[in-house]
Amino acid sequence: MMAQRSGVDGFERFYLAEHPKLIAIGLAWTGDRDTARDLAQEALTRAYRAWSTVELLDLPGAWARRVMINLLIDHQRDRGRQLQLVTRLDRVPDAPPHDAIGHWWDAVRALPDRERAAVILHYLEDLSINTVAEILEVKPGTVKSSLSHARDKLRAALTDADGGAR
Amino acid sequence: MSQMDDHDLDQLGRMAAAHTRAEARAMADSPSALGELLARESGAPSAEPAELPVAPTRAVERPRWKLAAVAAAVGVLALGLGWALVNGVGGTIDIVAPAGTGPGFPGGDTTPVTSTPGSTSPENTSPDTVTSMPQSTAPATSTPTSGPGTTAAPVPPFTGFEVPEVVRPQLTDVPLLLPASPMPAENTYLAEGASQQDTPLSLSQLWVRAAADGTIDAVLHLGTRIAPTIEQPNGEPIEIPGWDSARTYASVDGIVILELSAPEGVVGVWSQGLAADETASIAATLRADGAGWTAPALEEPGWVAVDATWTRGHAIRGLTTLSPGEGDVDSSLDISVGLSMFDGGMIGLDAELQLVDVNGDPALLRRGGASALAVKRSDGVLVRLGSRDPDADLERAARSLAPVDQATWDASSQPWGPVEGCVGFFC
Repeated sequence: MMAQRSGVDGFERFYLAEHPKLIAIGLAWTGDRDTARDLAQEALTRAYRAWSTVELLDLPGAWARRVMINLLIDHQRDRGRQLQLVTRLDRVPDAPPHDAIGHWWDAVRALPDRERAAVILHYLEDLSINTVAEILEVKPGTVKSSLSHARDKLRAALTDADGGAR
Repeated sequence: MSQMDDHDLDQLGRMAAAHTRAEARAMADSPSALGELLARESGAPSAEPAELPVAPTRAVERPRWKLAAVAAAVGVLALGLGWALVNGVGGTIDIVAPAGTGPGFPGGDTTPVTSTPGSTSPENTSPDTVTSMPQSTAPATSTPTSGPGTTAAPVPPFTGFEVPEVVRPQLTDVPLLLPASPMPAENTYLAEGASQQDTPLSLSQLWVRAAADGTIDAVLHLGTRIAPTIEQPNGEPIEIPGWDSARTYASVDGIVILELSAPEGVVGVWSQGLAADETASIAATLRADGAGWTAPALEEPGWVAVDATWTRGHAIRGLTTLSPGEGDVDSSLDISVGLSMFDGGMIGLDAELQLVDVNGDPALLRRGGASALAVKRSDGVLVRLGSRDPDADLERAARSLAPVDQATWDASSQPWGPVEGCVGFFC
């Protein structure tokens, strides 16, 4: 019983630390607060169910991020909601109108999945290339090239959005 | 028009990130979420997880991040062309239900939930009915080791099945195939190969209901698990005769998801284009038949089994065509063993599917924005072709695929470069 009790305590600490980070990833990915909250909860539910194994990992947070990103990809892919997600952008209550930040996330959401994931993890959490690579299960060189390609696209998109350089 | 420099880009990115982190922190301040999770899960069965870090979603079943880029741009178009040849079996295998087995485990001797036009009672299936079913990596003969209807000795995932021998495919099991049509020299061709072993044993079966002109109006998938839906992650219990318990998971309109449980395991049912009661009716009449499930309704005219895959892993070769200039992905060819047609987003809400014939094997052709084709060949090899061109003649390309030797394959392409992972259509 003690072991179980401490496992729950450990999960609670994990939950409190990771919950806002996973919501942030969901927000960045979809721009939709309900979706971000639901998928973060789902990712943490899966972590809870697998806690006896997850807590033994070197980076349990990385596992949760990978689950979250997989859920986000499945959400947009399997349900054919990509268009809906785009249209929901306007409903984000606290999102600034289409200012510089809005344009940034719009451009990020237009990236291919892997580039989008790399950009979100890199910028949102300031994670190292190696940690992003571990989360995405790719080589560090892949993350570098993904970020490089993504930055090219973001630069072009944001320039177009503003009608010129800032 | 000048572009932003890297410094400006980074600054904007970090500013946007800070804003989003603050918004997320405010959202996460609700203390009830953790309590709700713990309360809900305290009633759930102790979940000895899964292997970690297993892909908790279907996306993880794929070896790498394929599709990402292009699927997003083109809309999910997975459809593949599966062809089967790996073991040289060739042709369709006939599976004969043993005499005297009755309707079989676990849905046998039950009444369908509702009377649905087009479905038949279990008794309508003669014991010696011959069911023709594309078989992946199956042995030349399929005599069930224990007949349908057997409920003893839990053999994963259920008793009554004959699991094909080759369920841990290696890359060497994947044939080298190239289309007969010339490959324009101005394009770049990138080849990759990957395999993943020792995933949990799983069975994936896919049927489609097609009109005479090949138009598909319904799809049914059976698997050994389901992915709970976001709308209703815990589902709702329903009664399905013949099963210890069953749950239904709310999903988007047009898709029905059921989870059927018996002591020996779980069957996930996913349908599109079928009413909930039609899907439940099929679920109630499922019976183990050789190397997979079948049901009387699925033997009705119009239904075609397009895939049946047992697997403990997969191996895949990919050939991706990049156009000159921007280097966009124009088309891709995946050849794999151990993957099912249901993987890779081939089936989806926006899919306009058609049943076509590729060298004698039933194939799915998907149109809409881009085009894709998937066929599970009779030797168990799944072939998938995708093209950004909505009018690409993928049927002809698929029919023209022919084995080549390693030297020819190597000469046709260059190894994947610094950008690893899947950038084709079927990730």
